[in-house]
Amino acid sequence: MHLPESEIPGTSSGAEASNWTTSRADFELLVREQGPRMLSVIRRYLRNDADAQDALQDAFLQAYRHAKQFRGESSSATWLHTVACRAALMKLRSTRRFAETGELERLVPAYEPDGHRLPGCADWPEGPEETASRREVRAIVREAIDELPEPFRSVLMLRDIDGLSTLETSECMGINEGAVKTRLHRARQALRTLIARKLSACRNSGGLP
Amino acid sequence: MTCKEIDAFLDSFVAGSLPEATSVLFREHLDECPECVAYLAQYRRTMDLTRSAYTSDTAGALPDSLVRAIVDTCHDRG
Repeated sequence: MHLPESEIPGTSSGAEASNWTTSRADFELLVREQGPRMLSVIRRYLRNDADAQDALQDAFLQAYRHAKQFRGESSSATWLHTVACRAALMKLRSTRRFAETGELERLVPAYEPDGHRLPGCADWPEGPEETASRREVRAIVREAIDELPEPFRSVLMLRDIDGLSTLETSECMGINEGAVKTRLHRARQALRTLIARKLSACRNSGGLP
Repeated sequence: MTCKEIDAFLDSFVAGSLPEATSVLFREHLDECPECVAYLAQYRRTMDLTRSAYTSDTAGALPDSLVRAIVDTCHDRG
């Protein structure tokens, strides 16, 4: 979520984090205000509604327990966003679908012995992106992101969509920062291939002008 | 620098964190390799498209039952 700090709303209730645990009304207002945004974030990682709601509950429980430790270095909305991402990843890891697969190899470049890139990783077509609507291109990109194998999909979303730092991502994923950088790079390369293929397929089928 | 090495340094180059000496070699390769220039542009475009893929999403209001369950759980277990 790449919003400038000034555009990230805080809590309109003005409730300080320290009030969350002492005022049930304040906490309920917080849940109503921030819950929809947090649920949207969580749903990007967890397709199952029940899992997503469980993760949302876990996220607010973590926020409640650590409210007194929140020192306001960022807005509460930003902090809660990070808490939501962590909760989503915890839930995803617990579902045991979080296993690295070898599927990524067919989506990243391969090389000749002399280091030249081998053909076959899809050319990015000229034209369709410029003439398609933003909604159409966004749909293609989302579809491509959904096709990335885990854990590469999650790393990409944490870093490039939800804006977590490398350190925060490493803590969410339970891997070191070097592994985060490597997986992110490979995820981007794979996503590039998937998007290029989908744009080409759409152009060839007449799906995009 | 080979195309394979370019690909390995791409994310650092885009992030601006490549050491100066490596960056010079990186740019020299780009000066001679239109395929890598194109690949770099597509890599950057992929990042731009990823960032804007979900900017308009927000779920609707939470059901009252979910709000109550969250508040109750937090006050009981928090």
